[in-house]
Amino acid sequence: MSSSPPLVNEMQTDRELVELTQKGDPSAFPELVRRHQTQIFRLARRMLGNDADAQEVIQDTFLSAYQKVPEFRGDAAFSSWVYRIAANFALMRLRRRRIQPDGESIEDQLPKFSESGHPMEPVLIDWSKRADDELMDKELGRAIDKAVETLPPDYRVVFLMKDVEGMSNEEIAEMLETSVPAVKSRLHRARLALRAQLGEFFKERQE
Amino acid sequence: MIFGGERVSCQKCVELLRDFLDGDLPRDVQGALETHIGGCPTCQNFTNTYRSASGCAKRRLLADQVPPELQASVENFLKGKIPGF
Repeated sequence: MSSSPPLVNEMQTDRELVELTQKGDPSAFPELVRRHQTQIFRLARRMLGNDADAQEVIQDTFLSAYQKVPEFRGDAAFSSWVYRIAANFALMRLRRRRIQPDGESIEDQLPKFSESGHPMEPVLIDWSKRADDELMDKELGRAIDKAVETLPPDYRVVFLMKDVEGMSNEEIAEMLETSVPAVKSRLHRARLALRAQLGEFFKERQE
Repeated sequence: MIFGGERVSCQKCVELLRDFLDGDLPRDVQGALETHIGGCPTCQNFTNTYRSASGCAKRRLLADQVPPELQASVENFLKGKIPGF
C-alpha cells in the first residue's frame, strides 16, 4: 500500500492550492472552498438578508472561481480575488431585486446641528462601555443585526468590506467601481447610522 | 480652538470624525480636533459611541458561521458541477 502523504493539507498556502488546482489536482479546490466560504457567507448573508440567497452566492462564486482559476495569475491574494467575485454576485442579485431601503433614509439617522454648529440633541450618555460589556446579550445582538440590515445597500456593503473585513479604501473603491472619497463618505454615514440606532437601543433600555 | 480661521464646532468635529479616528487629517487639524474633543463632553461621548458602534457590529458579524446544512448543500452543488470535488 502506498504511504505517500496526501497532496493537500491545512498547512499549504492558498497559492499552493491554486497551483495544484491549475495542474488538475481535484483535492485542492475543496480546501480553498472550506477556507473561504465563511467570509463569503458573511458578506452575502448580510447583504441579501437570508440564507437561501447567501447559499446561491456561495455556489455561484466558487463555481465561477473554479472556471476562472486557469486565468488566475496571483497578482492579488486568492482571498481578495474570490471575495471580489462574491461581491459582484451579491450586488447583481441586489440590483435584480431592486431593493429599496424601507423605512427611514440614512439622512434621518445623521446627527442634526444648529446654525452655530451645536448638536440639536446633546449626547448625554456614553453607552460604549455597556455595549462592550453586553455584547453577548441577545437583545443587543438583535439590535446590531437590525441596525446593519437597515443600512441602505450601498452603505452596508462598504461597512462590511471596511469595518468587518478590514479591506483598504482603495480596494473597496475598485471593487465597487467608485472613488475613494465616496467610500470614505459612505463608511462615515454608515457608522453614524449604526451609532444612532444603537443609541436608541440603549436609550430605550434605560427608560 | 481655531481651525481654518474659525472655532472647531461640534458639527465640524462630527464631520471629520472618521478622518480623525483613521489618522487621515493634517497634523494641525488632528490637533485642533483632539483639543476640542478633550474639552467637549458631548463630542467625547459621541466619539466613544461612534467607535463602539462600529466595533460591536464588527465583533457581532465576525461571529457569523455558515450553517452546517447550508455548507452541505453547497458541497453537494459543487460536487455535481466540478469533477472530483
